[in-house]
Amino acid sequence: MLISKNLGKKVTTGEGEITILDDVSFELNKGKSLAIIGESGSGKTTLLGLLAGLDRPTGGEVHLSSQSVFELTEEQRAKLRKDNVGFIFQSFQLIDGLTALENVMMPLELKGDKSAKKRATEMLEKVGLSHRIHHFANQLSGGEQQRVAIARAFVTEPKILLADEPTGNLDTATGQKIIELMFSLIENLDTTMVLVTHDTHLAERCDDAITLSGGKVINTTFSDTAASVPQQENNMTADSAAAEGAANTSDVSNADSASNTDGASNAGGARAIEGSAS
Amino acid sequence: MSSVFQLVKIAGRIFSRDWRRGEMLNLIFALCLAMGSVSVIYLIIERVDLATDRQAADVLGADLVISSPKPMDPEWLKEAQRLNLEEARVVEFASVLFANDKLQLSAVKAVSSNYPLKGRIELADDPYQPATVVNSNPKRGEIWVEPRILSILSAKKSQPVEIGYIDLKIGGAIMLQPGQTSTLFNIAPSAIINIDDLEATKIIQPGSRVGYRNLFVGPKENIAEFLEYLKPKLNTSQRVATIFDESPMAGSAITRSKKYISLSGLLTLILLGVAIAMSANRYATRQFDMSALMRCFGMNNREVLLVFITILLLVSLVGIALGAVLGVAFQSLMVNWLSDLFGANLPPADLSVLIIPMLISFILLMGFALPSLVQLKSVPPMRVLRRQLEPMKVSSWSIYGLAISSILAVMYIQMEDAKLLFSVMAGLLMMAGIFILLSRLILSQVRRLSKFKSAAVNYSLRQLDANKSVTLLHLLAFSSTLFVIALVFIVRTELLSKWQQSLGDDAPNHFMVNIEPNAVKPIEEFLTSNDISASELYPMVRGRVTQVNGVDVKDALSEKARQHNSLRRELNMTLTNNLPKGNVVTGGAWGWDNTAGTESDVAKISIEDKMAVALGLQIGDQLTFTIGSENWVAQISSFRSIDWQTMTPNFYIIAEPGALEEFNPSYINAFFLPPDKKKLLADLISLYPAATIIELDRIFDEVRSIVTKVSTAVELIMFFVVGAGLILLLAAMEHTFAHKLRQSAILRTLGASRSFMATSFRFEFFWLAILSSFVAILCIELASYLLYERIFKIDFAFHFNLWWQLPSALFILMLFASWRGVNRVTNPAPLSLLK
Repeated sequence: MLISKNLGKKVTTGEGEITILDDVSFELNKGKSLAIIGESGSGKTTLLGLLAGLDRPTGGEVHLSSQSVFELTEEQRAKLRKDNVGFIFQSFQLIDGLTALENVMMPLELKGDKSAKKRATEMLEKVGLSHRIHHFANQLSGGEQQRVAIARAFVTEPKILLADEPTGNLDTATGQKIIELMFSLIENLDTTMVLVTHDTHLAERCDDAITLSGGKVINTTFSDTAASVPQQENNMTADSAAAEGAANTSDVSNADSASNTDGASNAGGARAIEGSAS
Repeated sequence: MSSVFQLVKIAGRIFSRDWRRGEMLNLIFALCLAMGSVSVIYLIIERVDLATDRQAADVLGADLVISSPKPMDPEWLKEAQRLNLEEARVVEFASVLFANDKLQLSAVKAVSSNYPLKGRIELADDPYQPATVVNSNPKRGEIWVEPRILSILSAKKSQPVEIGYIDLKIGGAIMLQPGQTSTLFNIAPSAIINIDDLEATKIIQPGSRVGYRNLFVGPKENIAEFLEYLKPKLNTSQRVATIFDESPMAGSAITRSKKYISLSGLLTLILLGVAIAMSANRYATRQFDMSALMRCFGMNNREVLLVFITILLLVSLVGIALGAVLGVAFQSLMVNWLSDLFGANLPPADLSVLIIPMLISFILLMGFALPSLVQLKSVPPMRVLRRQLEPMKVSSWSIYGLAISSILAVMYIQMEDAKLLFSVMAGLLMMAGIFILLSRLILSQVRRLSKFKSAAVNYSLRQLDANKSVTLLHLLAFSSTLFVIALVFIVRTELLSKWQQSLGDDAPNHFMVNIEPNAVKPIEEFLTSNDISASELYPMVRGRVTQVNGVDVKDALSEKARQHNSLRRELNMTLTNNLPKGNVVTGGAWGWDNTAGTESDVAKISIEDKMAVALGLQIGDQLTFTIGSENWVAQISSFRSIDWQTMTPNFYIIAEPGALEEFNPSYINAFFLPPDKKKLLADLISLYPAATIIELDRIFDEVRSIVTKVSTAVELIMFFVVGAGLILLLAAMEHTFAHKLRQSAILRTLGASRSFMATSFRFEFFWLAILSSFVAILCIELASYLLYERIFKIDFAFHFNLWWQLPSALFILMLFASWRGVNRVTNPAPLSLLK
């Protein structure tokens, strides 16, 4: 469903070249969820953006729904997102001046869906905002705005959901509700999800997780072994982490299929790809 | 609470930090652009204005002319000397000139050595010889005469002419002199002698009717000061001669062009206001976070406001100064570049004229920025935590109110013409009303219209309503810029075509007067056979109004009415069934059948409407005219407005043909004679020696040259105002894109294609073009109606072409201009905008 291969991003500034993301590789199967964990500035959002083709990498590839994202033109990438991807942002990113309903209708209208209004209304009902559909973004509380953003992300029933710190701007109780809502929708719609978070508890709810630091993958964990990832691996590169993960983790099935991009038979959805450094 | 000094220091630090980061550049650039454009226009206006004054002075013969029936008080002359004004003197009187046993009553001017102070006199040896410019007055013992005198007296250059007790030698034929057009239809042709010969003529005796004219030239301010000094001292018989007395046509052209210039100046201020409004808005929205932080750090509302006002002062100082410098440099380059187009050197401008736009920029900046700054003051500190919190909106009315008040304040500083001020004020208020009502009404409906098949079109419509305050600002910017550009353009077109009409290539340039009745037919045949286009031959009788409804004028009319020009001289009356060119019936009915309120046994007349209003006359009133020694009674059956600028014979009074037969009318006509047919004049005169031909072609050339210069000036100013308008329009479009970046990033993340973005932006521009054109056109029609009717006295007609041209032109312009903007908004990776 989603494959990242040796993905890297560097930017040139007046003071030289800065590596934002370095050689990130993984594979995520349909219906599975992957958490990207890391501290601020570790490259989480950049990785998420690259996975969606919102920016161009300086190296590596991304395959989304069997299409090599960066072989596509900007227009084709937009179409790929329209047909496959839903997005949830930390700062909600609703369009100012549009009502909740209009915000949710937007992706449907982009697809030319004639029943956009009906479907958007139903979706807003699902997220518990039927009484707020004609309110503008700035008339809603943070939690309500994020629910609108979730409705907007799920209304097209995307194959993959990319969520960037969806609870980052919310209080704990509201954040918890949002997470429940998001996970229940994922489950119901069998959506694949990549979730960027620095919250390890939230990451634990995902099937798989990778940890970034300084743009590098320093750890990969899987749903049943997340707690047992050795701390000494913290300084490993993405490749070595993948290799080590394949060789040393107790998840034998992962090790077995370290080079297998078809993870349908795996217990974990995400895999570090062997040989990704080559 | 921090001291004011500390707050200013904080403001200075924020300013220098933003300056280094380039944040301030946008605002300073906008101010600089606005101030630069206004400086260019103001300097050009000043230079054109000076050139126009120069033209008017050439027609008058001086910067200031005072006419009086007695010599000027020596005290006044001392004041003029104190103010370093140069003075020339003219004594005017009527006298009979004798030569070759013939005589002619003439209007004689005895002039001092430096006459004329401005303008020029052209003399020819013979009326049909080339003329030369003379730089001094006639020498003692010399007389210059109009060509008419030469033909009537059968005299030639160097022959003696008797005037009073002395003989003067003819020095030449006057082909051109300041104020010549005013003397054209005087019965007495004019002559000029040296003032030192005046005493010897012994013509001026106690009780003689003499006119004294004192001419002055000097620096503009000194002339103005002298005029202020004189005004309270002038009695009813003393007056300041205006260009209208000397040349109504040139006067009208110059006055209208000055009004146009003044109007352009005012409209330019609207452009300045728009540019500043946009910048102030952008500045305020960018400061929301900073403002919230300051509040979090413990500043109170007043302190936050003070900090931002100080920053704004610094910005305005830098922007205004830079703009003025750029403006001075640019206008200087442009005027040099366009000097061929203008056809004459423009006098250099006094840079002090920039003080007003500088002051205006500052007032406008404050007028437009203060409401936004007041908003900043109320930015909730919570914005630091929840970015979506917007500050409380200051009521839109207070923003418009403050903006309009600042524009009015500016106009108060700027304007001298109270009538124009009233019109512009009324127009602005009405336009603001129309603008607010219409735009709100339209915006409240657009969301409902978003039911198109195309999502991009629907999105573009929703966007108009989504960001109402921004849309309103853009609508205001686009429609007022369009309004200014279109108004400056169409008023100029009307003025030029009006002048063109009155100075058409085949406008009559010769008048023939004193045609005897039996010569009428042969002269008509002569003109037709030589293919000369001529007006109808009008019979003409001169009479003075002495009674109204049988009561003497002095008893029948008020004192004010008795001062009217029409009662102080003999009026030209004609007889015709055809309404002459340039005449429009404004009351009663044209024709000589009995109409309501008239009697059958009294002759009917039609009179000029302004005269009727001044004398308080009604349809059906009877006027008694004294013609020679006879009285003639006629009843008013209609009023006419007369365009005195059509170069055809015009008459205060028109009567029924046959009515004035017993007074032996002579005939008058006007015709156009091209230069190559000039020799036919000699044939015409030799065939009908009793008739007199007045050659207007030289004077017309002069008037045409003045009108050409003022029209070029009008064109030049239009060019600059339109140029500045377009630049500001593009700047306003740039402003619209600044609001699009984030939206574009969100939509592209949701999968919107670049073509979707481009289509939606372009449709948004399309709606904006239609809406702002619609608002602009309504305002243009209203403003041009007010301007035409009240200021320029031009007939108003709807500008229907504008109704499709303006939106189309604006949309095409926007399409071209949006190319870069659309790319700028859609090119950056969405991720960079969403982080």
